[in-house]
Amino acid sequence: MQRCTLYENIPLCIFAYKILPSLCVCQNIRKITGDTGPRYRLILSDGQHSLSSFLLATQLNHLPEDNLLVPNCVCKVKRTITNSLSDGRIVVIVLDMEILQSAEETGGKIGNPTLYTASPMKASPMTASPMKASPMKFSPTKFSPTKFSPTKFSPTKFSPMKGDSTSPGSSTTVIPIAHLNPYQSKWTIRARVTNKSSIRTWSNSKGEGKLFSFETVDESGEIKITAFNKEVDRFFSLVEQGKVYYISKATLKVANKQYTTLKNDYEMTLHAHSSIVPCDDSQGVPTLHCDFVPIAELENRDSDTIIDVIGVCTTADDVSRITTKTSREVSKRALNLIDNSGKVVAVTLWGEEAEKFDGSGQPVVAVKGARLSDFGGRSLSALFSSTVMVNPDIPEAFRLRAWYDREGYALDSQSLTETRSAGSGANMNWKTLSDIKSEQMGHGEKAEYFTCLATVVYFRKDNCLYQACPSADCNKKVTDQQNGLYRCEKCNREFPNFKYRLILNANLADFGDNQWVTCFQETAEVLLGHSAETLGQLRDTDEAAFDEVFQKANFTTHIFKNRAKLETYNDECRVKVTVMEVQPVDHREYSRRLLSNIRKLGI
Amino acid sequence: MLRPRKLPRETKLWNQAFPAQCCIVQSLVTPTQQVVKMAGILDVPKPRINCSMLSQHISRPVCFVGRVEKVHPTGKTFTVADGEGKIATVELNDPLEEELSGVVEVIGMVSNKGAIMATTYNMLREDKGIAFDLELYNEALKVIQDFPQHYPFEVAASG
Repeated sequence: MQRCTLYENIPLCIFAYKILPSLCVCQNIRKITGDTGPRYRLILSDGQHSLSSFLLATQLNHLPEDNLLVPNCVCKVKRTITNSLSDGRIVVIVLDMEILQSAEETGGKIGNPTLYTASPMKASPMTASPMKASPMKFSPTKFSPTKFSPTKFSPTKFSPMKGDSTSPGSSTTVIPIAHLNPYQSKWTIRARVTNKSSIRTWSNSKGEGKLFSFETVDESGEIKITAFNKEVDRFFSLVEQGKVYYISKATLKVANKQYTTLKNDYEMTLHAHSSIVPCDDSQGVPTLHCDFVPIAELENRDSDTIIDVIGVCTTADDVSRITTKTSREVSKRALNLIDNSGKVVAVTLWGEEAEKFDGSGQPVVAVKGARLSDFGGRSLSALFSSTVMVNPDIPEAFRLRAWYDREGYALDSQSLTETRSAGSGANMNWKTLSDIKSEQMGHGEKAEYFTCLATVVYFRKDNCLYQACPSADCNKKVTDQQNGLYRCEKCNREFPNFKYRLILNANLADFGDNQWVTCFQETAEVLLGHSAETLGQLRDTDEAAFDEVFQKANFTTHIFKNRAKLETYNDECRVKVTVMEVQPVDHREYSRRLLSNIRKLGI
Repeated sequence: MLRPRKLPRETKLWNQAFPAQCCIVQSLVTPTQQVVKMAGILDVPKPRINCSMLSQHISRPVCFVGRVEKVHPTGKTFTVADGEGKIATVELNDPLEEELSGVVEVIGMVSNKGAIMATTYNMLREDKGIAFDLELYNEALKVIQDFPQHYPFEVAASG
């Protein structure tokens, strides 16, 4: 029989000062039915003293339910949280414990522990329903217990957080980030700032403002914190990335998943009463956690996902100024990152980050929270909430540096970001012409877009040109007034001239099927290799040359990006296919695609 | 694609000096017969192969595409590398009359030593068009080999 370690100290003090893990024996278990399900109250002993102020966290409910935690078993308490009740009593919630030796193996009680009574408080057994200790917190709200997991509420039933949250080290009731919720107003968290954004100002119809946000992490999870206007002034210089702080008194609300990818249902907003105090004891608080994706893997991820990436910056463009759609001027810089998967991707930085970036010396650049887009195949863009770290002090950076210096610098790698959007993006939707009928493309509510390789086998050249309104944005057909003037109904004007525009019907064919398609101005001009104006003039002057254009363009093969839609025309429903873009065939890329498709067939 | 074959002077001298002693091999290499022989090989199906397939095509006409590695000083033989990097030897009847480099397509018979006895060759011009992707070509060869039921070249050529 193994004797458990004897402590001279009182177990309660151990838990208060977080000297864990502690070995103890479970003396007794009592099941309490609470509002949110069964709770188990434990009497634990160290062989000398026993204490009944232990409550098992609901995530460990299975231990007594599966008969793993039974009286007289030896267990190791790994993590606890200490809360003080309004009447001064202290409750220790066991968050993590391990059963070391079963009751059978222990063979009976160890020692003769006496119930511990510490001077400042009575170790009186808790009443059967400690949940009633602070009921006022829950009645006014409209919450339904089913929505939130019980663990989120359990510690709150015992607090009001009396401890001064600004003085670290005292009996501050620090709760894990994972337990934060809007229905609790007094709490303190101890967390490290992992990602701090810059100050961003906005100006809309409601007025102006500024904000900054930062992400924090502790052992239990992470949460995003935003500060607006006055709080920006108060906290922006205080909060530093990488440092640990005690944070309390802020508003919690449901997270807007659009702006963050952190795994937390809630996010925090600082207000006038919020307090952020630096913490010296950062033991146990994890540092920045990045989930780097190898660049070669990026092809397989969906666009618009938030990704962490790390790589060596091979080249960086100069910073350029762009005017956005909202007429704002912003700086932009594109850099190329390569990692040990051998692939390169373009990353775009914006604003101040773009301006102060220095790509000399091929630094290792890590970006946390960049958005993957299918622009140019695959590329990454730093968001307002992203963090860009140059030569970060993390093991992945050192590994990359070593790899690059050894072999990476010589690699002639392929970039996922092509300047032409003929990159292997999932938006290409390759089909063959027979798929249009077999898959009934375009029959749904929305138009369907697809790409195919096909050869033109016939041009309907008789009615390919029409006379259009010469105004810049109007392409409406004009009617010849026969008096030298042409009337546009849309502009409600008459013009002495017109511009020729193309609407070309062509028949495309591939190995499986034919398909009639319509090409408008831009695509028709690419196919024929001449502008509409030139063709118009040729038709009027030199018929033979006009025919020649179509002869030359006939039986040419291209990559067509098309749009298929079911349309009703005079009671008749027909799928109409329009060509959106015509591109020359990149035989190597097409061959690679075919080879890959053949291999994927798995035959 | 028939290249006019000029008989080297040595062979002419040999024929003049030793008419009666022209060996059988020599008689096969007279100009007209050479043309006939070439026509023969051009009529039959010539599977495209790489080095790993050489051993399966001994004494058969093949088409080999590879990058020129080294040309022997005599000009009668040179080595080519296929898409996998393996090397094969090409032997010519007549020494090379031009500078050979880049990717070439060689048509000939595979000898029992695994060398290609070239009947004709074709240099793929590197200055025009898109560069030939030898690795991609090798991938295509593997597909043709793996799925002969979908690539019935022999049947098509004779039919």
